[in-house]
Amino acid sequence: MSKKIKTVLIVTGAVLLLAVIGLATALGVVEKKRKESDEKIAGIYEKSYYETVDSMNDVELKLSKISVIEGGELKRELLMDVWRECDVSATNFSQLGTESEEISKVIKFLNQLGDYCLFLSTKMKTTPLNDEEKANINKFYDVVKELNVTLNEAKDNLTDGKTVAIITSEAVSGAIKNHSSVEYPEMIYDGPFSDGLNDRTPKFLDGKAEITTEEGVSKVSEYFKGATDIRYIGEGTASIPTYLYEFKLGRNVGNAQITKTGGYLAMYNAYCEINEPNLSEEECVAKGDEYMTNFGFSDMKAVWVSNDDSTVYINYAYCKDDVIFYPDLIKVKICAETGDIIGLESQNYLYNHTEREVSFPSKTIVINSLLTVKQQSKCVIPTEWNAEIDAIEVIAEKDGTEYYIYLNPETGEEIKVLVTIEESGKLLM
Amino acid sequence: MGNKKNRKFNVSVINTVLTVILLIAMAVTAAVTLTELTSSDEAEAATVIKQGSTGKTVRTIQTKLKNWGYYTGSVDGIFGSGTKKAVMYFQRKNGLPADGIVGKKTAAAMGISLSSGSGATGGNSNDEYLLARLIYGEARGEPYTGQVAVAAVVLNRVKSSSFPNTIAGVIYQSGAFTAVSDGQINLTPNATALRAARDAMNGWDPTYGCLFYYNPRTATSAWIRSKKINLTIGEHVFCV
Repeated sequence: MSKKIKTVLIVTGAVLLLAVIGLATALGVVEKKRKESDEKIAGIYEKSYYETVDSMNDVELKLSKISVIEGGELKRELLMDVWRECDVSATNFSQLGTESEEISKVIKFLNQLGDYCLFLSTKMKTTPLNDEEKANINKFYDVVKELNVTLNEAKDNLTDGKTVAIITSEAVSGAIKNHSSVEYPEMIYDGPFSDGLNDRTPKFLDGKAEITTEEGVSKVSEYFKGATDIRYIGEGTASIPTYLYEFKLGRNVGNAQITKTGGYLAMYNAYCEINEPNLSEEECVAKGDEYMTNFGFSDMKAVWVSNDDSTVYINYAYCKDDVIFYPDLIKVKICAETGDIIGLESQNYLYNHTEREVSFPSKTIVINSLLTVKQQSKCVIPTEWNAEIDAIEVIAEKDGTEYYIYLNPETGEEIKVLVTIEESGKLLM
Repeated sequence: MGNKKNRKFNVSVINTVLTVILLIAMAVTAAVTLTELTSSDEAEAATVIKQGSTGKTVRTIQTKLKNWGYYTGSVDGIFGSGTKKAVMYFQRKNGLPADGIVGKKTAAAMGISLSSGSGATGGNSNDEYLLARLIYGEARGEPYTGQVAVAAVVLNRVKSSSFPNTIAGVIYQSGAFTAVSDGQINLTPNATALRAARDAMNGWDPTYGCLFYYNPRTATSAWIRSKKINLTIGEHVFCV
C-alpha cells in the first residue's frame, strides 16, 4: 500500500472522527437545551398547580367561615376575599397546560362563584342575605371541599417523580373526571357570568313583524343609499336573529346584519382606508345624526365622540325629556374623509330599549370642591348585573383631566367614576 | 503509468472532498452550537420602534419624516412597510445602518426620545396589538367583519366564566388558537387587523357572544362540531 493511500486513509479516519465528535457535541447541546426547557415548562405548570391548591384551600377556608358567621362587615369582607381567591384559582387552573373540558368546567365554576360572592357582598351593603343565598353558599362550600380532595389526589401522582409537564395537567383533569360526584350548579342570578344571559330577548323588537330575506334586501338599499351588488349571505341565529348581507358602497365592501323581526340594522362593518380627513368631528356627528334618523332610531343623542386617526367613533344614547338612557346605546363609525358610515352596532339598544318612566328627586348634588363642573345631567346607567339605575352624571375637570362622575340621585352618594384618557382617540377608563 | 496518474487524480479528489466534508461538518457543528447557546439570550428589552409598532411615537416619526421629504404616506400612527422604507431612506442619508428600525441612534438623529412609556405600545393598546397579531395570524384572508368576529370571540372568552379573565390569558391558553401553536401570531399585523382589533375593543361583536369558531373544511373535532352555530362569516363558522 502506497504511502499516499495510507495518508488518505488516516485523513479520512480523522475527518470522520471529527465529524462524529462534532455532531455528537451538537446533538448533546441540543438535547441538553431541550431538557432544560422541558424542565422549565414543567416547573411553570407545577407552580400553577401548587398555587391552585393554595388558593383553593383559601377559598374553602373563607367559605367555611362565611357559613358560620351571622352577617355584617366581616361577612362582606370574607365574600370579597372569596371573589379574589376564586380569580387567582381560575387563572392558575387555566395555566395548567391543558385543553381538557373538565378543567374548563372548573374554571367556569370558580369564575361564577367569585362573581356571585362579589354580587352578595355588594348587595349586603343594603340588604342582608336571605335563606336561599345562605343555602347557596353552603352548597358551593361542599363543591369546593370535594374539588380540593381531588386536587390533593393529583399531588400523589406528581410526587411519584414524574415531573414532565404533561403529567400535571393530566393528573388534575384525570382526578377531576374521576370525581363525578362534583356537580357544578347553574348560576341563574343575573350577573355577568350567569348562564341566564344567553337567553336574553331583544325588548325593542318585541311584537314587531318578521320580514323575508327579500324585504331585507330592500331594507339594505333603504339604509345604505347607493349600495350595489347586495348579496344575501346567510342567517344569524343568536339571541337576536338576523339576515346577513354583503354589498358595495363607494369604495368599501360592507357587511350588514338586519334583524329578522322588524328589519332594523343590528350590525354593520366595513374597512375603509382613510387618506386625508375632509370632515371635522362636528360634521361627522351631523352625518351620524342623519344616519340614526334614516335607520329608524329616533331621539338619539351623541354622548361620546372619539377621533381615532380620522375614523370617528360616536356613541349614541336614547335621550328623552333630558334624561340620557345609557343602556340603550348605539355605536357608530364614520369615515372623516368621505363621511360614509363604516360601522354600526346596536345590540344594546335592541336588547334594552323600551319607553320607561323615571323620576328624579330635586336634590342638590355636591362633588369634590377641587373639580370644575362642566355639565350635569340626569341619566339611567346599566349596572354590572344587567339592571339599570337612575343617576346624576357630572362631567367635571381637574388639572386638565376630564372626569365623569355618577351619583345616586336620592342620597347623593358617588356610584361610579370614569376618567378620560387621550391615546389614539379618547378612552373612558 | 495511466494507473498512477489515475491514483494521483483520485487522491487529490478524495482530499478535496474530505476537506469540504470536514469544513461543512465543522460549520454545521459551530452553527448548531452557536444557535443553541445564543437563542435564549437574544430577547432584548430595549425600546425600539419598528414595523408593526403603533401609537403616538410612530405618528411623531411619520410627521418628521414627511416634513423632511422622506415619507409620502399618511400619518396614521401605524408603522407599515411605507414607514419602514422612509426610515431606511433617512438612515442611509444620515450615515446610519439602514435596518428600518428606529432605535436609540436613529431616534437621536430624528431628535426624538424613546424613553419607555412613550414607546410603541402602552397600557391598553398593548392588549389591542396582541389582539391584532392574533387576528392577522388566524384570519388575515377573511372579510373585514370576519376579522372583527375573531377578535370578538377572544373578548367574549375574557367575559365568559369558562375562560381566563385577561386577553393574554385567553390568547395564550394552551391549545386555544392555532396561530399561537404554529407561531403565526408573531407576524406583523397589517392596518386591517389593527383596525379590526380596535373595533372589537370598542364593542363590535358580529357574533353576538360566540366563544368558538372553526373552519368546517378542516375541523376534525366532533366536540366542536356539536356546538350551536350562530352564524358563518367567510370561511369561519362561529358558535357558542
